[in-house]
Amino acid sequence: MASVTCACWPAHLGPAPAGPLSLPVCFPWSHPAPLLHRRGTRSPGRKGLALGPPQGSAPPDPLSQQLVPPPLTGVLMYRDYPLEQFMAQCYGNVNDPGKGRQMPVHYGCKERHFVTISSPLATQIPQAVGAAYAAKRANANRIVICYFGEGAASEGDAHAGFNFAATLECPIIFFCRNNGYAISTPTSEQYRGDGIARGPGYGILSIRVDGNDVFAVYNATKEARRRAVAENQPFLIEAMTYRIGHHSTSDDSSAYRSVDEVNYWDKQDHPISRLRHYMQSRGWWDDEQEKAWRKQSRKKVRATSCCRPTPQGTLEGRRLGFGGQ
Amino acid sequence: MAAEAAAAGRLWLSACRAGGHWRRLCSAGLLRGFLQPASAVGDAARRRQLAHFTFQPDPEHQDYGQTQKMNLFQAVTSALDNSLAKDPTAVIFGEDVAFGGVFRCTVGLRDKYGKDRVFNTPLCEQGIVGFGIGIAVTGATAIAEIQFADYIFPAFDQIVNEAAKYRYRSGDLFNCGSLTIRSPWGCVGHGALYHSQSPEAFFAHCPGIKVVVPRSPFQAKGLLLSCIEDKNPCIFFEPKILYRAAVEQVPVEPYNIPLSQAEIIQEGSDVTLVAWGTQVHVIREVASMAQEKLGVSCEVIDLRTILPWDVDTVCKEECFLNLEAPISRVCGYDTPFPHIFEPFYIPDKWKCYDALRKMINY
Repeated sequence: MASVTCACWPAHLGPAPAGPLSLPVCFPWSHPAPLLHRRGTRSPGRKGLALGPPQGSAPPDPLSQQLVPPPLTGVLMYRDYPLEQFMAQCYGNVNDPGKGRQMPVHYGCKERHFVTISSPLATQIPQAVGAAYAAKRANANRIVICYFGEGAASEGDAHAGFNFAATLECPIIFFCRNNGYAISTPTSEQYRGDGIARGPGYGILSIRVDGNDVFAVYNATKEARRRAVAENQPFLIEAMTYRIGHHSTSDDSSAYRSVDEVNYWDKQDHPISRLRHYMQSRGWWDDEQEKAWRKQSRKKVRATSCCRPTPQGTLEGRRLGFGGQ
Repeated sequence: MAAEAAAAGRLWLSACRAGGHWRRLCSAGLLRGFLQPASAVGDAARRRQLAHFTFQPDPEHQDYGQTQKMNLFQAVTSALDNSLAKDPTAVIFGEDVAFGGVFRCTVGLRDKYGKDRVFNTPLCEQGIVGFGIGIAVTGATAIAEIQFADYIFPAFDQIVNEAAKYRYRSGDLFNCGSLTIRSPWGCVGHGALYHSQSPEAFFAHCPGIKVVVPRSPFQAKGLLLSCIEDKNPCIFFEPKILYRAAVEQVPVEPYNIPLSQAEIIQEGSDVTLVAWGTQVHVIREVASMAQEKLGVSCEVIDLRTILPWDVDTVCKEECFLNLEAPISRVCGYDTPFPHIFEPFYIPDKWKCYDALRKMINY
């Protein structure tokens, strides 16, 4: 069986869509980037992935997220989710739409069709398939896009989701962010096959893309969406990237990988840097604007960081969510 | 020993005359070799199938329109038929449901409603429930079948960590309330470890879901319809031994039996007996035995909803705080459910009656 190789564009998917995009499109992508970067230890690689797909999947397709969402924070950010609401969820204060019930970064937004994140990994994969099936039945011309990491792809739920999507012909994009590590577990200990682009084993058309190339990710997602709606079938996109940051604030990754390795990706293959260089080469951006925008972003983040929980808010928000009784 | 056996034999005899079938004499196998009628000797296969209970139909209900004779699986089919007719978003899925299901609960529905609404899934319980949750999150009605309750465990994570917590953890932004999981449940005479389980206890302490077990066709249809319409994910366990054995007049039109309401099916003043599913018929018989032999008046309660359960009906405060004996629990042994030893394993009427007698004499 042919393995999926790193391709610019696999021939069997037809002619490749148009190349790099124009100025107006780049700006929406570039603007959230410093905001994401400043928020801390998150992998820029995953930011590249975050910013790519949303434009490809024209809102408001439902999004089913796996945890470790800071990269996918970009997705929500792209859909104009206010910084204040991100912060509110993290602090669990009275403004948290999730009512303070979950740990930080478990975002959710009904209006933006972003299903609330939960901690168990890969559980959202078969759920996303069910949602896609319902969308198909409703003739909604909508797809569901489901994000997960290469570690979560080892879960039985991932296998279940892929198989159901294929047999039940669901309009869904499975988007795997392969960033090399599941906490401390490198991919060599996660799988032995050809990455997560194992869709062909299920009858799912799959593509592997450079996850740090925002245009590649955009093009792949856009085409996958178009075909998923038109043909009622699933697509699997494996975006190769690298997690520069630690897994979380409780992790020190120097315990399991070398500083040199991290530096390579940080300096040589950083998706934000790559986009910036591209824009600068086109004369759409320069160092002055970069400086100004970073300053502005920092100010914005600081302004929203003063959202400590209030006693009144936390107690009121603790009603049990047992509906319909 | 012989005298005891003879005495027991008399009881068996009276039970069997009342029941109408001579073969019921040997149902528990305890008197094998003592009092079998000649016709049953060598009839080993049929003896193994004798039930430990007698299904007692309720009197026909007049309030719900025209009724039809249905067994329990037909009552389930009727409920599903009503649901798919009323709710265009409703879909039924699981292993083998397309041809009608291994217990015939979905016969005719695919032809009537279409292959996009009644369909098979791959053999994967975690996928079935996860997929069902996803459908429900969009607001459509999802009716998932798990082929045997014994196989629900791969879906335990999706049920407990996802379905039950969906509304709470999202601050009510999202929910999967329109999900119902139905599954054949309980002992059947020959099911052994993996076709006999009653796993409701594993779910009974999980806030966010409802768990329901009916005792009869009429109850099954009304409770299942309530589960499907309930705004919370529900698990509906169907006693498989009753699929054919229980026959009643069941209304053709849809009707609801409320969840979280136990039913006192017999008033009594001395002892309260609580059960659900098949066991309700066992304790009904125990109540009769107690009245007849001991002059003890038993209140018989069918719990119906295991979670959230009707604590008010079961524990009427003035009584519960004045119990004259410890509460007795009669159930299977702390072993996996055996095959050939099922008659010894199950909490039959003799074990229940024995517990009742000890309680009275406490």
